[in-house]
Amino acid sequence: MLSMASSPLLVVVTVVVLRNTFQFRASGSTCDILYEAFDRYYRIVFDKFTVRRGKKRLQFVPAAKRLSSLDVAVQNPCERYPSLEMDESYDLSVSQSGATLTAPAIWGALRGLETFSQLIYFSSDGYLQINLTEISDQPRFRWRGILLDTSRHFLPKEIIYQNLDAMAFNKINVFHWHIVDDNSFPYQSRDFPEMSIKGAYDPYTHVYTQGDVSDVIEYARLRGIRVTAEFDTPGHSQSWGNAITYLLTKCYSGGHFNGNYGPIDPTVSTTYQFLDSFIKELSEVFKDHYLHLGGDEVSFDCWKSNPNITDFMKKMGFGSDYSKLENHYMAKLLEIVDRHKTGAVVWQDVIDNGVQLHPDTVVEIWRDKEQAELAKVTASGLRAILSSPWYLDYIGYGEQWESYYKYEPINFNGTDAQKALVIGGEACLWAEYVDSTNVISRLWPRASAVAERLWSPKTVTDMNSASSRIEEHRCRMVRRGINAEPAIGPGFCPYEAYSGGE
Amino acid sequence: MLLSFECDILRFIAIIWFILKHAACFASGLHSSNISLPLGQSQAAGSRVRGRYDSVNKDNDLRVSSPSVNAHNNRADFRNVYHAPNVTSTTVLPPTPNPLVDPSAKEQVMWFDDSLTYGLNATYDYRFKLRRAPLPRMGSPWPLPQSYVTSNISHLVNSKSLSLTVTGHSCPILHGYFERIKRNMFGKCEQSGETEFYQSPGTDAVLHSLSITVLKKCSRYPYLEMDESYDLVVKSSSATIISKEVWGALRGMETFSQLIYQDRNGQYLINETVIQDFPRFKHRGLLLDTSRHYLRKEVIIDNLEAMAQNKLNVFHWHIVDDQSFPYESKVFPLLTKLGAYDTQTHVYTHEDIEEIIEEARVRGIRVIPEFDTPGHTFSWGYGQRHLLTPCYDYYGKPNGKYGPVNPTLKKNYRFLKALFQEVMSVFKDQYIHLGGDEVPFDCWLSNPFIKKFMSRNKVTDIRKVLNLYERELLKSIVEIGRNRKMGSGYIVWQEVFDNEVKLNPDAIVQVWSGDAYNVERVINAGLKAIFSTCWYLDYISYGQDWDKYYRCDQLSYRKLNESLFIGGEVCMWAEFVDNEGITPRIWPRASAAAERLWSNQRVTNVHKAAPRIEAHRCRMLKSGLKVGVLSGPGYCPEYKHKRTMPCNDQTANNKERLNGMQSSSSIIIFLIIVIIVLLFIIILTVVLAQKRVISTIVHVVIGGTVQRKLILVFVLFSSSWFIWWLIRQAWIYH
Repeated sequence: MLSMASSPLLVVVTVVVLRNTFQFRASGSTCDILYEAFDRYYRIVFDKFTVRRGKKRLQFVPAAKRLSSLDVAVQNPCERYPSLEMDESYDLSVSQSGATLTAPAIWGALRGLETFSQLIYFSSDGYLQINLTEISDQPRFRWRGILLDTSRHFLPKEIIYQNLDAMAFNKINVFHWHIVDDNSFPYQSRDFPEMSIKGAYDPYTHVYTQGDVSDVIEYARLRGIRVTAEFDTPGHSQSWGNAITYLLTKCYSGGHFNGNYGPIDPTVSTTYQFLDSFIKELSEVFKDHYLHLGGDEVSFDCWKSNPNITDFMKKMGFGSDYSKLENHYMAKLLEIVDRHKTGAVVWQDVIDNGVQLHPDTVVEIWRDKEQAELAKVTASGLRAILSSPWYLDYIGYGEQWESYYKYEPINFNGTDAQKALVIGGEACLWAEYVDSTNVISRLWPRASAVAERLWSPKTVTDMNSASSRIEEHRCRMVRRGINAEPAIGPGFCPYEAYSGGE
Repeated sequence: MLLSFECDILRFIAIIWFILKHAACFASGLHSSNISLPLGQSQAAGSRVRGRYDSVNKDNDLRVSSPSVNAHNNRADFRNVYHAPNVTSTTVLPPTPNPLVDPSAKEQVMWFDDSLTYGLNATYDYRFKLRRAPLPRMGSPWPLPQSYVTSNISHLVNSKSLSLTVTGHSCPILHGYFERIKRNMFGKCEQSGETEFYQSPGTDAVLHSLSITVLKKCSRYPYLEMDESYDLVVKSSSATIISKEVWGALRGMETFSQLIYQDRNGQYLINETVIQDFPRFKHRGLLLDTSRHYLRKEVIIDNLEAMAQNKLNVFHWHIVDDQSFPYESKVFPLLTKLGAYDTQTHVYTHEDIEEIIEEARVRGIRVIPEFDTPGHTFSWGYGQRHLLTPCYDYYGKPNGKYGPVNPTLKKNYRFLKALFQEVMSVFKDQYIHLGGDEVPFDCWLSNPFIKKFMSRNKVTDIRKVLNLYERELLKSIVEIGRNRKMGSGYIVWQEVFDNEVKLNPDAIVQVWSGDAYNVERVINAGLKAIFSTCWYLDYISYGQDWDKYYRCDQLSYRKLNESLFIGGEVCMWAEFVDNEGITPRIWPRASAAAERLWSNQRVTNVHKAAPRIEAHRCRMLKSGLKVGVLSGPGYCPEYKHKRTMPCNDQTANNKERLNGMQSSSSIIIFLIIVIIVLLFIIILTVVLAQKRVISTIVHVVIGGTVQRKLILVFVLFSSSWFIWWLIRQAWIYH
């Protein structure tokens, strides 16, 4: 998917793209997304290339050698928000008589424009050139995501914007926003504002206001990216408890409350009343159909210590199986989510504990032995996304993108129907050791390897081709203002941006 | 008549100057004046990993002691917060006093005992109990001074009127440094925040000025034996620094700036403090590698600033290597032309180097370039014929590969002498780094001419050839030094010492592999040693590693004679980093090493250091440096009760960059304005002054004397030159 600007197979003739004569033209249905994209890609194509050596005199280019326009034909009327079912396929043709981009939906047109902009390169005689090319393209997986964690370290809105830009350059279509966690609660709630006042690192500077959230969603929408927010419960919710005082389980030691709190208390009705109104708010604020409910790494120790919970377990006849208690909670939560007409994504722990899930639910796999887990999840008829091989927060010396690239997501014994239920994957960047200073350079271009694995056909496995293309793609991102770090050892980009201190 | 003509011109020029000046303001005000950087072809792929060939590039991994990659794919390991081991916890701590800013408040940080699973990361937030990074202890200096006595009596600092008084010898760099620490402390955009200034209870005096006394005459460049000691006293309303040399005063000012912290109202405070400080080691360096990846000048200067904030005093510039030759040689221009990645954009010109040396000088940092020979020289071979040794295959045929510098040719030594002659006139420090590491002998051994050379000189051991080479090279360095005021000294990697090359007594040996035993061997031979094994920052791993650099176990168990053991260096080899990510990768990890090199040997408690280094990180962030994360989840306190982006935060830069997209259009607008102004001049001259001026000119040309003709030519020439100058000024201003 990272286009080959110089592959000899495709080179027949090249045509020149001139700043003052080239234009984007819409010949099908249009909307703000398309016009914004024209504007954006015009700037990417022409402003991000500046003639490096001003002395060279450009010669006149005859009309036959010029590309005058790209005709973009979107066949169906625009949808307002991208969705899991969106159609991202497109056909792109660059010929001597002109270039055309045909896509059934607006989202395909966005992907096609990205490819078109990647095909243009700077020739040695000072022109912007494009090779004559025929492309027919569609993604292999529908769910291609990046997880950013804004709880361990807060990320300013501008950094999220930059990441959304980079995601568009890599045809990633889901921004999985792990917005809150134990460590802080930066989401400024509409109905429960005290949650961020008491739970954020700083209630003034380290929060996302309602305006910020809708800005991010809008920025993503214009790039064909879905924003799936994650509000992880019942574990990973310590920062919620400062404001909603009855929510968390009190931990006991020696028969007394010891001052610590555990996961959400699943035994009291106030919990579900709160969750009902909070989920209602979230389903209205976040426009995507899916909401990530978390459900991972629930520790039972605190539940075990609490006498009220022990009583409840007895009453319900759960015995000493605390996963049944978790089930009880998740079932009720999923019921609430369903009531608000929202789809759910959960971490694999939920299904490992044997919770009955709605068929609309998507299960995200993150632990080891992921292929066996995929087989298990899809056998029960649920859809799955995979993130185990792509935990980008684990760093090491040397080239890492190769292992991300080589990983084949569907590699288990199962029926075709089962395999069709694997709908994608996500690269996860947990933020224990990254913040706004290094999140971009850590994520890109390593996530680009994941992006190609999730978009391109299964057969695209040639490492030689990939390494030269990812190197070019990295330089392209750098030129477009993304601080992507080197993918492969020593080398250079013709243009090196820099943003830093003074 | 001529006079009135001149007056007209002058009046026009005044008007034009006014317009131009405002036009420039106008144009740059429209968009951030981010002049777009040079850029070029989209295909970079072809030329990467140059110089990766078998014989020379034995393997850079030779430098690895053991690259540890601890990527356990187990999220539960570190995300699980519920098993708090052995914590005798009390109830939730009261919200005040705030431990972040009130040093008098009881230390609220509580550590887990079980260091295996939680390590340093385990600490409670004072509001909700959680594993997170230690809370920054603002107002505490890093690296820790040798003697540091502080009280909890605090005084307000007036950020607006804080001024510098210099008594004793006045050195110009003091004032520049003072302005810089003020900017780092108070930010560039202070006026945008609320700056109401009030006296809070518990503070009486307001600190208005810092006075500095330098006892000795100023020296222009920092040097190995410079005196960096200083005394700093903050008492009631005055702060005083006394130092022997100007370099100590710089270190003292840095410490002074670190003592200042903000309370939650945004007021700047400083505690009464007495500090007597001096460095443990003379040579505290950072190696940057600009050959594997080119580093832009701005990135290098950012790192110099970070070094100053960490009191590092040597920038070891590994400027060239196998992969590229970005140093601009005027004596051998082909070296640069054929050896650099890109001859126009990826080169350090003499002006660039001069600027970097100057930026380093004003921060008290020495710049020592490294020109590594005879190995690590592949990129030299493009521009200098017969320099490298051709390697031969098993059948005695050249196999097209090249090895280290050919030690048998006399011509090569002449070349090296001329090159080093140039290098040592460009770089001002007494010392130069000559490399000498990782010389692969297999290529030399395969070459029949070298075999012949060996038999002719009755040498059987190939190491002896290296020995001969080094001896010849060192001789020419010493000769070059005779014509330099400061003389010449050299640093070599430890292999040169291991190969028993005879070194001058003032030579420094850099130990990069093995432990302190190697340092001991060097010292026992009577030579100076610096140590780097601990601090190879290019080897990254998941999680917190600064404590490893802080402890530096390889050194700790050995008692060494510190008169010859003169310091250490943090190394950032650039195989896998470049401009985009190098600063957050070096800092704040290098800060840990900086304290090891500056502070007393007894300062070893990582737990005590943790809140201080967190504060130091926040301070560096505030000064606008992009520094990464130290020890897990957390944040830097911002005491602006306003939802504005901190001015110096890098996000502001990103915003600028987003706007910078339109910079090219601002240049076009500016050009249009210039053209309009020029047309305006011409029209005015022609229309208004037509009758008088033209008739005067015609009159003079036809009938005037020679003198008058000359005056006319002079007036026309000088006025047109003046207009040109005005345009240029406006351009530069823009």
